[in-house]
Amino acid sequence: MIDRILLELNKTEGIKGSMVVGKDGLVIASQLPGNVDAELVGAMASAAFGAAERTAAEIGMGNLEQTMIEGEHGKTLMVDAGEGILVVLTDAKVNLGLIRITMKRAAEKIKAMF
Amino acid sequence: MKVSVYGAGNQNLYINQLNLPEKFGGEPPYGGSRMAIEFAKAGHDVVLAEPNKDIMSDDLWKKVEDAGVKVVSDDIEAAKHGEVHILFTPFGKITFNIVKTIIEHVPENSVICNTCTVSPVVLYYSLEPILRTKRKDVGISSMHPAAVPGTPQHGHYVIGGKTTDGRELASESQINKLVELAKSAGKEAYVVPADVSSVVADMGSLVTAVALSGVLDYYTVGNKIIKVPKKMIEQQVIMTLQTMASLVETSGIEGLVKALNPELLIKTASSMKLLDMQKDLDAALEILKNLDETLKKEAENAEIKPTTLVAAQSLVKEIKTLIGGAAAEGAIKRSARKLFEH
Repeated sequence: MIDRILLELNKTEGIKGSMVVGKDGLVIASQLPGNVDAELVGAMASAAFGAAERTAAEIGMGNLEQTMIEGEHGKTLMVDAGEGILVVLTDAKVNLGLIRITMKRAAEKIKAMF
Repeated sequence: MKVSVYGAGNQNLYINQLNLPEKFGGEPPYGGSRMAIEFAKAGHDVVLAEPNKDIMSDDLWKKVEDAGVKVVSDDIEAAKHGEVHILFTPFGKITFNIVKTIIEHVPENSVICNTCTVSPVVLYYSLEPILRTKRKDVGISSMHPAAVPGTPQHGHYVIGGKTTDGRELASESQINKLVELAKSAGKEAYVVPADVSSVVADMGSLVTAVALSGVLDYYTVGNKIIKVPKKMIEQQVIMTLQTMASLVETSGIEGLVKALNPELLIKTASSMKLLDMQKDLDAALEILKNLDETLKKEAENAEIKPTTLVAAQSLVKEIKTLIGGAAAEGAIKRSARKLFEH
């Protein structure tokens, strides 16, 4: 079921792949390109999202909604999806607004599944 | 109760290498096949899965079947049978592979138990993707004989209950089922924290017993004779155990011996002989003075590899502060799997 949401998400222009990982890094569903180590990226995403979440709390920013890692060749966006984190890999130049809206919708659907 | 036991036990090891009949008594078959016999004799419906028929002679197989145990060669057939699944399987990756094969086939609310080749916690971590998604009903525990089944020493089972941090790897009713099974076979049931069970039940209990005795010796001497603060004793015990564990992890036993330098250690530890009753220290010094020549040579040639000495629990707290509890827990689970699963 989650895989279906990810496949739908991956149809958005500029998205290269997506996955849902538990807050502890356990891969729940993955639709990533074949050359990406899903288990490793899941673990890293949980650590990165966790660190951002802790930082936001420490600064008094409240609950973390989204984290983005911006690289030369692409972006990694992570949004809270309840018990999990929705992770999306994109091309370098993308319509971030569209991707954020699409991710938000997908995250709501995923939250309802846990 | 429906019980599935996986692995008949290496009879060549028990009979010819360890000489158990002469040394400890009892009678073959030993190991998983004996567990199966005892459960069957207690009135349970038992299946024993063993793909390697050559592991025992025909007369021993006859004893198993005469006791009412159904013998199969297919793990999946055994998986479909039991509500309790006991892994008396070889050390290493093979055990994890067997359990990953059977888990999808076990009946609802089954409990899968380790014996001497794997910790229930590591087994749980290894199965977690399935346990948290497809098989939330399945529990993980231990049905550790803590002695070779078939010898007179085997009068008890060590069962893994809640972990020391309160996690339930198996439900209360699943744990109770194991207690009931042990008692029905005339054995005493010890329910201990799942993360402690291997330390007190496995062959490593030899290390636990000797190390604990050393810890308690220092505790007595430090408290009553030297009269140092309890905190200092605890910190020195932590430092000692963590250093040794870390060195074994990176450099093996030979690297540990090289790094600790037995000659130096004898001189230092001798100065801690402050009471006549420190028989454990006497024994330890004696052992260190008479180290096996082969081990000495291996230690001389050993490489002490880069080792990060950490205070494990303090590090866990620090990681939880930095990346949060769930992410830290995930990192800890993955590191445990990497260390013990392969």
